[in-house]
Amino acid sequence: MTATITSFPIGNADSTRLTLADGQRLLFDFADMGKSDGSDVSFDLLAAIKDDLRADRKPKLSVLCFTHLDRDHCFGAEDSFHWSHSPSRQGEERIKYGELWVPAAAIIETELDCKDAKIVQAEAQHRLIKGEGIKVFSSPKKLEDWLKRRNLTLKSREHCIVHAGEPLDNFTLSGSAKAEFFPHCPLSWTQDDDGEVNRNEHSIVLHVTFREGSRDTKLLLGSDVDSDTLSAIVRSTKRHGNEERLEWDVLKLFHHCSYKALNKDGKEDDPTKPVPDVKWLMEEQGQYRSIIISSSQKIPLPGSKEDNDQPPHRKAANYYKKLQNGRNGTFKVTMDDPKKPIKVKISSSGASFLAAPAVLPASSAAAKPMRAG
Amino acid sequence: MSEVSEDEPFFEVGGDRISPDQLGEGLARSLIDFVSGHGGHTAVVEELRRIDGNIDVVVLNMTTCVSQEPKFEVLPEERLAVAFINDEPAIVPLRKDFPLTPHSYGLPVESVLPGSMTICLDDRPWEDAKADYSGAEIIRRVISWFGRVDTGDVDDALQLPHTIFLPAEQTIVMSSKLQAKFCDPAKPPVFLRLKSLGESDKYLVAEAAEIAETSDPTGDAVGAFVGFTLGVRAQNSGAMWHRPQHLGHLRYMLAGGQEDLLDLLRSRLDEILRNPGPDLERLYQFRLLFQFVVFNEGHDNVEPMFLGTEASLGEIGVATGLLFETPRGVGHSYGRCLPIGEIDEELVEGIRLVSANLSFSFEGEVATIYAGNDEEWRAGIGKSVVMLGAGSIGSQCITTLVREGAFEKLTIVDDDIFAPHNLARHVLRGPALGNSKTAMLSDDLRAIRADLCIETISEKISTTQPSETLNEALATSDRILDFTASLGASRTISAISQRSRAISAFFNPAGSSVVVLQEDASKTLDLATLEALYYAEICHNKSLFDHLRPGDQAVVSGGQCRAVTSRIPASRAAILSSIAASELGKVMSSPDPSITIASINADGGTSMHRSIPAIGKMSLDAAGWKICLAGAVARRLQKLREAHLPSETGGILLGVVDHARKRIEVSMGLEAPPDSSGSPSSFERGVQGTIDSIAEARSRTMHQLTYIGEWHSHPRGAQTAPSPTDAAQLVLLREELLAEQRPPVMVIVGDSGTNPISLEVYQ
Repeated sequence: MTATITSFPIGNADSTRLTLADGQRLLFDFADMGKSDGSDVSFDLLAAIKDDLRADRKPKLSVLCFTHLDRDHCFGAEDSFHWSHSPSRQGEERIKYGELWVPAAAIIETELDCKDAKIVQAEAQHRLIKGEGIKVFSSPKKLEDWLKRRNLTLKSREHCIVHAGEPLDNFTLSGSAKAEFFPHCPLSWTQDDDGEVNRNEHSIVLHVTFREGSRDTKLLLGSDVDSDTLSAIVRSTKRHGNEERLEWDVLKLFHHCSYKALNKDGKEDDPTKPVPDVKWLMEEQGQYRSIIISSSQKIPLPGSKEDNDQPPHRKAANYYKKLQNGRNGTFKVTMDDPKKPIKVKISSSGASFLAAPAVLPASSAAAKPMRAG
Repeated sequence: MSEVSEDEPFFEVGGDRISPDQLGEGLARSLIDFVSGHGGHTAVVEELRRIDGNIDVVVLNMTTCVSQEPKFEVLPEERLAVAFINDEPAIVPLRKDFPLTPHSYGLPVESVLPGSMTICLDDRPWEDAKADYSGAEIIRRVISWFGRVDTGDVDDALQLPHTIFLPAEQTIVMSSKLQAKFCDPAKPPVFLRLKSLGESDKYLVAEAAEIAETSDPTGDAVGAFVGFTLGVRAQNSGAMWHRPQHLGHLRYMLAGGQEDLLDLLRSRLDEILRNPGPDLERLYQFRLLFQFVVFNEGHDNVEPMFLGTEASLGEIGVATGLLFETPRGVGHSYGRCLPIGEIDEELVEGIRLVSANLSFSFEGEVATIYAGNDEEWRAGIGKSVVMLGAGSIGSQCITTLVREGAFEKLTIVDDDIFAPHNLARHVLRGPALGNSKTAMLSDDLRAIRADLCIETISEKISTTQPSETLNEALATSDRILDFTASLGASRTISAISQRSRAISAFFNPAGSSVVVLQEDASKTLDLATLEALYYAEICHNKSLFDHLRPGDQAVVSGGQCRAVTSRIPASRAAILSSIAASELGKVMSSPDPSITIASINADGGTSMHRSIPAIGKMSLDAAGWKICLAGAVARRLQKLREAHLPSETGGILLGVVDHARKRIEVSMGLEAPPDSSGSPSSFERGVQGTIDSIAEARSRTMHQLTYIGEWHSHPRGAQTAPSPTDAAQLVLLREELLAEQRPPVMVIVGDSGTNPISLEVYQ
């Protein structure tokens, strides 16, 4: 099968599913915003994830990754997943997963304000203490301290730690998955410098390479980092001579199309002017006919009440649109169609959109379980 | 076609902007409703317009879902106009540099639709297709079209392979020979006469003729033409284009900056008029038929298009600045313009062009293509064949094969006259009654394929030896097709040493099956051997036990008791002949021997039994007789031996005896009767049931199998030479068969390896 990337229409929130060539599913963030009070999101994320697994006879996700523990990245997780640390949160109706991937901040942070985030954290801590079923991205000093307090050492948990700049084990281009994951963020040293947890900036940013035929297609999975962190990523990557690890055919955009990812001080410019390193990342590393996906609400019209400080930012979108137009690329917003996810297919000729299921006769209905009473 | 500034990347739709409320209940509304409600990431309505008073146009921005490396330069998002003409959607890409692709076609110059081309979503006539259409279906088909353009696999399973030009009203039928003359730009122009084909004015037949003959057409001729092919092949990536209506349209016929085709035409005319010869005045009166050959890049093929004029060469010369009209009575009607003058735009637009498709005359190559075969197949089955027997199965099979493109040269051999009872199943009809079947069939086949070279020989090959003429034909042909349904004929063929490979097809007596026997390429298994193996198949396979049981009583057809014909319905004869023709088409290109028995079952279905016997045969000459044992028979005996090792075993040998040709074919060995006794050093064949077994085999094979001798096995390690006991047995057998006036046959089966079988005959 060919690999696919699916970004769900859940407002200014994130959930992206990767289906690899061997059929395994990896879910990056899960925010079932349609179930939050007063939400205008109608998409049922939980059902979509479950139906997909069921349709392909998959018992579980291979990986559940939370790039960070903001509400818009983990809302509804408590009631949706099987939590091994909590017997009351287990059951057949819950989604199972193999590995849990979290940034180190998710282990050590002490001021989580959302119950879903707290459950994720408890699960991550539980798995790290057991030393299995988890990957923790980065090993800042505070993680080492956290382990010490539990009579554990960093060395004893080294197999659970993922370092920026080192591809993850178990995923290779020559293996059945035909994919490689290269973490860019979080960087351990920046966390040590920062001292306190800065959730957005210490979140997971991954570069994924898919191989199909003789072609490699590259995805940059952005989280909510800003232009400073992106610049640090760019500089660090260049320093190590890994520029190709920042090339992208598909970009899951940073921070719901916030101007801050381009230039955190660039609120006024229209279109937003990116800082030099981010400009390089966008303009030099983005490929011809590439695809940008903004996991956000629709881009606001000028002067509308949505045209405010909250993402998505119209001026940032203007930058991306112009950029993509110039190279026959596309810029898509998840909430432009609140009913259907954006699906990208990876083939031997690169990335392309997959026609939404409703474009095929009754396939949408056929893909869902139907009951009659 | 809308006119817009060159700087604008898109064609303007034109017309008036309308609101959705102004739409009727047709497809345009369905499309708007679907896209507005469910278009999502795929399609967005940009505007709605009405052009030319009643054509509603929905302008969409479509996400094409093409990859980063599409085979055609289609963008990830395209602006499309969906124009509804009497509710039928036409999809027009609005980007001016939208690529030329297969399954798209150019809009006529006069079209009111925006853009220069439309994409082809559906080949079916709209009356047939429209029941399937809704707004959603339009979007689905557009997405599907882009998906195919992305991968380059543009021909949808439901679409015909694309052509470059939209079909023309008329078709010119031309032989491949004439077309070859026509096609060579280096050759002088072709003079030809066009005639209507029958009563149809849609088909014209082109015949080559000399200039003097063609200048005064009479009878059914449409006119005299001078024809040529333009010496340039226009490049075209597959989009379909409307045909030009007048000479002026040549300039716009192919988009994409191709050469000016009108200029090309004028250059060619100039050459022709420069070297006119003695018939200049006649030449001026000729009309023009010229061919454009377009190379289709996408499919690497060449497609011709014919354009004819009603105007004469003289009139065309004047319009294109090559000639001027001279005053009446002064020399020729026209004079040459020197230097060449300007093209008179008004005059060239007044010269109507009639376009026509090319259809090759139904000749071998064309027939092969229509049948889904190829040249390799054609060469494989043999180009020159001798057909023995022009009866029901022969006439039907050969007609089918000829229609499928088989053969270039045919020699039909039969001495029979077409009689009234033949009308029951033969391809010939009433007018042929009383005439030679070969002559009539030959006419019939030529009427299908004029390119066939057919000779006839009035002769019956059965027990008599072939004439010198027939022998010559048998020796020089590629294949012999035996449709005589005569054992004598196939055995006579087998006895001829200088001949080509033979294949035989015949019905069983009940008319429920057809049998095809093919010799291998080396003719090791000749028809006589295959006949013996065919009988063995009937005896070995339960499903074939009744294959040779007599069918309905034959009826007397000619007032004499020997003039009988079978009672087989025409429908069954047609089905079985078609199966036989199909089988011939398949097996004749193979070097292997084969035995095929196709049957019509009781429920009307058909079943097929096919075997490919191992090539190999032992034979020896004894007492003026030839005894043959096919490898396939020997293998069966080996298996029987293996089943009884370490003891010896054996049984009765059955075979076909041909006293006329003094030949015995071993067909099969029966298993040891139950009262036989075998040990590692001896074997005694029992007697229980032997008579019944032989009778049963004879009954199943219409008495063609008969007792010919005995077989037995030798133990491991022993030679297959006859032991003293075996020699005594042979003497005994000889005594038994004296009355039959033929030698007894003994087969001894031993270890595999060298000489595993010994074929012994009393000398």
